[in-house]
Amino acid sequence: MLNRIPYNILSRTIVVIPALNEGRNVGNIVKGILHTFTGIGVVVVDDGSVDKTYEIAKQSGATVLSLSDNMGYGVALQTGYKYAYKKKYQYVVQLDADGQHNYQDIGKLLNPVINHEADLVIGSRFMADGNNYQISFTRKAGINFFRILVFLLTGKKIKDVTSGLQAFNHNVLERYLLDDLPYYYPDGDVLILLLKGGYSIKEVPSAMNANSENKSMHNGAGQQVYYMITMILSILIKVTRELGRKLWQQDK
Amino acid sequence: MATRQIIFFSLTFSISLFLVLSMIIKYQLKEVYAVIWLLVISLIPCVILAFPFIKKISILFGIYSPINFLYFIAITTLFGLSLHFSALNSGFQRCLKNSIQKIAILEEEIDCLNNKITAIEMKSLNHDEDLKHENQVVIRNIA
Repeated sequence: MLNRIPYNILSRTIVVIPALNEGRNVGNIVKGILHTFTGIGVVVVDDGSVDKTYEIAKQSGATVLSLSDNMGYGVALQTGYKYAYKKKYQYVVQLDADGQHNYQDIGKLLNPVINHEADLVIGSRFMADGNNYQISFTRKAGINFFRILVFLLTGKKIKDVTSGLQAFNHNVLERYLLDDLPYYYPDGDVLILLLKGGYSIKEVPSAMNANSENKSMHNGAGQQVYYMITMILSILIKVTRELGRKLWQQDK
Repeated sequence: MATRQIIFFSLTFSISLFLVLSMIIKYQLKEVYAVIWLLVISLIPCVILAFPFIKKISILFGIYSPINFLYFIAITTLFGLSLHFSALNSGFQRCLKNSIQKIAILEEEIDCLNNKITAIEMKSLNHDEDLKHENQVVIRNIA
């Protein structure tokens, strides 16, 4: 379902797409977004791709920011946020360039943000009906682990803590510009940071497509273990910093 | 301190000092790090000269062999240095990230400005040609 968004809102909205060697998908996604949502801005952040991602994204009509080296998913996203902030966009949508996210859901994600129902809206693959997205047992176990961790630390139930499909307002955008945004995978740790900072988060159902190339950011057991360890450490660091900040403020 | 130990410490001191000084001369070490390493090296003659004093301190710490005490001090110093360099590295990484992001955004802005300049140049070229054409028409009419 396409949620209609007024032109004056779309003209103040930008879609940030971090891309690494996604020449096969990025063109269709950019064209689809620009065709469906007239007036919306699209910025593709090329995270040091070795294929034609830059050229294809540019030809498709997107603004393309090219990082000179592969800096990580988090850095690519933050580059897009910095661009959005510089160009004074009020609303930001982020989605992946691998075609797994449905860009038609942008309206569904933006509506609660525009109506001030939440500062950040997550497109949740676990709330959607008729979702043909298959997930391995280990990944599901990992997501459940972080879901519980987020709940224990913040008291907020979030079904899909690792979803890269999000929409948020200018307040969250300003928060994302700080240097504490993780370089690699900003997922549950960032949600904890936002919830602890008093930002409101909402989930809306969003079907996720199966990846035609079976490509994921966390392929293989080694990468999944690495992701788990870095994420747990990142959460621990963020909770410690938050605690330290509170104690510091109390002392003052 | 045994003569063999004094020879060993002196050799270590000379080689380390030579290495650090040569790196300073070749501009391979920045002043801040040069100071750190010179400080570390200057501890070696202190060990030779003040060995009885070190013996006393090690007993005070409950370590009965002064060599073990020296190892403990060395490991602690190395730990401190690693921590210092980790902090520096984190800072450099942050600088690098911010610089790369800034470059990417500025490159896009330069591209945008170049496109605008090209468009203006094209427009002025067309305008010049229009003027030329108009002038030719006027001259033909007068003729």
